[in-house]
Amino acid sequence: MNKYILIFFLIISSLKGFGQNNSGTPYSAYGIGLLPENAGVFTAMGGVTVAMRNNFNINYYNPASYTALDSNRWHFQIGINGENVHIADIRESTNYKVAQNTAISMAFRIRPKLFASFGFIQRSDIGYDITYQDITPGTQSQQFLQHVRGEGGINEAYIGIAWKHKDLSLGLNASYLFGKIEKRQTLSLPLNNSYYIKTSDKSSLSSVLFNMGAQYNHKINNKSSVLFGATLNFNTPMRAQRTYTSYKVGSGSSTIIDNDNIDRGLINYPFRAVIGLDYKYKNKWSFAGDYTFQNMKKYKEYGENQDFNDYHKVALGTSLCPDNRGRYGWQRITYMAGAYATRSHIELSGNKINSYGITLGGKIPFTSRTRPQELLLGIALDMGIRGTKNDGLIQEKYAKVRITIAFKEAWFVKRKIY
Amino acid sequence: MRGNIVLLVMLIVICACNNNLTTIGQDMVDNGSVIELKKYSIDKISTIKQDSFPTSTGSSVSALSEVFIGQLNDEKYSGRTVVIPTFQICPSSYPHISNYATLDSVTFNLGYSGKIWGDTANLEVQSLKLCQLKELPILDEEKDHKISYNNHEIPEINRVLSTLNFIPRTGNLTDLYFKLDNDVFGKELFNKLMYADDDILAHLPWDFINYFKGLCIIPGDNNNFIMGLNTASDKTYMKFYYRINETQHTFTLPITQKEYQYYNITNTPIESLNSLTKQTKEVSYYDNNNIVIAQGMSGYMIKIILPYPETYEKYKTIVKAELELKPRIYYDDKIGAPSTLIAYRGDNENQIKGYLYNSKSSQVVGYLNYNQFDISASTYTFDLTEYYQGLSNLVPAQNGNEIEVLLSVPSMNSSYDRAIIDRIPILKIYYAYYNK
Repeated sequence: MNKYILIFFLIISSLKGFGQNNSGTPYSAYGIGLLPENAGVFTAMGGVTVAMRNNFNINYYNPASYTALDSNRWHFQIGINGENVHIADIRESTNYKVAQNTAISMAFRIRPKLFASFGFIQRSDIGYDITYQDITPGTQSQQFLQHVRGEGGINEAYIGIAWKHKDLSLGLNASYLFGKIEKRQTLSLPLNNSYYIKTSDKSSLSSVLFNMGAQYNHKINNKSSVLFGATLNFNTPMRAQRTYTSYKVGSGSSTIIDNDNIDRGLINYPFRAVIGLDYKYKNKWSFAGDYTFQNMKKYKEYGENQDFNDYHKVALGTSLCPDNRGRYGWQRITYMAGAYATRSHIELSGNKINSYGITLGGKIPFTSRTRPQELLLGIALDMGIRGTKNDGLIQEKYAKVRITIAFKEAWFVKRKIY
Repeated sequence: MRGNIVLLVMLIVICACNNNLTTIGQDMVDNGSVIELKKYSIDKISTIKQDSFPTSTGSSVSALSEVFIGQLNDEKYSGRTVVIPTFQICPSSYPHISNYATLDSVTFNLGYSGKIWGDTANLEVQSLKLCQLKELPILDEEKDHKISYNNHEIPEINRVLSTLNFIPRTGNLTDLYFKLDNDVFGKELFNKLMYADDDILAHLPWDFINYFKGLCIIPGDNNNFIMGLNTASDKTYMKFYYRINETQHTFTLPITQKEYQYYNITNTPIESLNSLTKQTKEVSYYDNNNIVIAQGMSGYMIKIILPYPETYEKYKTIVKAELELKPRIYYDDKIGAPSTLIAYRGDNENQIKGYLYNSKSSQVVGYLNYNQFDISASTYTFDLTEYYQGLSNLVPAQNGNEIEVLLSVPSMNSSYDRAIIDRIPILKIYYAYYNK
């Protein structure tokens, strides 16, 4: 009974995570929003993904990793980020808190050597709220106010399969990308009897995205091995329907100015590739690294290139599990650390918006000799810096906590009756 | 179980996360959306003069509660304005005066309405003449309700009944009266009332009016004030004081017959406005020493030509439009600046086509923003936002056309207030480009 209560809470909390305004950074105003720089089950190792696999966590970033899961277990996993950000420009600073990058996934074996997984992930987040004021052109000192807000992002529902042959695993995630991006604006002039303008620019997106992955394990000797991994998705045009509405609001009256149903267009989700490796020693140590590239220069919205840069990320991480069958709990914990650096697609006033972070964390197993379920709690702390204060831009110093909870249940094991 | 509790606590912590998305970073806003002010100097501005405006209510509604009297010479701006009221008096009921009554005196009392223009601090002795008309005014039967206008002539004068000399200071205006001759005029009229002369009393009021013909009050040539008279029956009236057996009695003749109650106004303009002989004529700002004026009673209005808004563009709209006029105001001006100016639609012959409206119920009015610390910075501001929004939506666009607007003091016929505009007005239109 307890497991059902717990699953209920997990689902509720994850849905709440999906429903939140999932960001707070003005940097999420560009394109499809802020791409998750460090999320997933290996967040504590700098967010390495493609060469990672184990028999407990569903590594949905590389579908080839599903083959590492237990063949006679039903795997359930949920992850969510809690983020506290100190945001500052050269004049002022503030803080915001958000919950984001929610992921729910399940996995199981369907045939010998053939595994499947499905779930929901957040691909990108938009959430900003900025008030801008400036001198009205043509006046000496009259200011106008512009309040811009953005909400939404892209979610992903995926179904993945993975197949293993000897040391090679291949996987494919077929994802349905969907989401809404709404950019709202209020433009006002603080004068008596003046009107103000409210606009809403909504885009509804949907598309199917295929993400392919491969992992190859090479045993070096009895104590060490290295695992190579790679994933990629091709440039994928997402169908988008854009509506634009504007209102003129006066004292006690509101008039629609524009109500445009702009024809369907396309927004590109550009080519993305990740390569990496994971070196394991004595089944205790792990040293992993990833390089991510996304061809954001090709990113277009409704046929217009948005002049982004390509996205690059390098992540390094290590982990140590003293004894995964140890007598004491601390022996069975996996201790993890890592670092990452990204060069994002955004460049403003000649400043590339980069981010850097260090990570710490661990995985704590909860097992019972008398019960069939096993549980793994992953806790990761990610502390980093994004952006710059140069040229009126902002710098964010963030501390994220990612919690990942993984279950596996022996649902496919028939009870033996003695 | 302990593990499950730990997990639940952590989940609750996550769910309780407080999103405060208000962030800084305004310099990052790629503000293609802006509000921009475009200023237009309205140099097509001139003074016009109304040919006529009503100075009576005719037979349509209740009588004027106020008429005006006086003469004011405004040498610098509007010239000489002379206002002469005329009206009828009549017994309000059949008189029952004892044949033993003895007339003591006759007065004509003036009720001050509270309005006066002129230098009340330095005025010298002024004079008013109360005159009896020789004929009844001839009403224009073709005018709606026989309304009289400011240019309606006063009939010929039969005789001057009395002259009043006084200093029109606001403190002593509440007790003004003419003392009439009671030996000839007074006795003659009093006897007809006392002996109930059927020739003048059989059919009131017309027998009396046809006999008496009416009164007018003419200002003296050296006068320099204009004031309002309250025409209520207990404020302005002729009064007979008589005795019966040493007992004092009075009998009054109040003002009656509203259609015969009007005032004539004549204005002799200053030299630079001499050409305003018809309403179609105008004197530009530049031809009148960089001045235009709007003034009540004298008939002056300001004509301005406003531009049409810019051509309609997608994602561009007007959020504010206002017209700003800077008046010349003196601290000790004997003629005040009105607190509001009214805007009318005009045509190319300077005819008034109706009020200028922002919306169906919102009349365009210019409000005086009086700056007591720097009166030269005072302005009249007209909010034209909705009016211009409506124009910008017209299809096809009216670019190049012009909008004729006439500005007037709020009550042309009951105020001598004057707005002197001595700088070129500015039309300010704020355009919002909300999706550049």
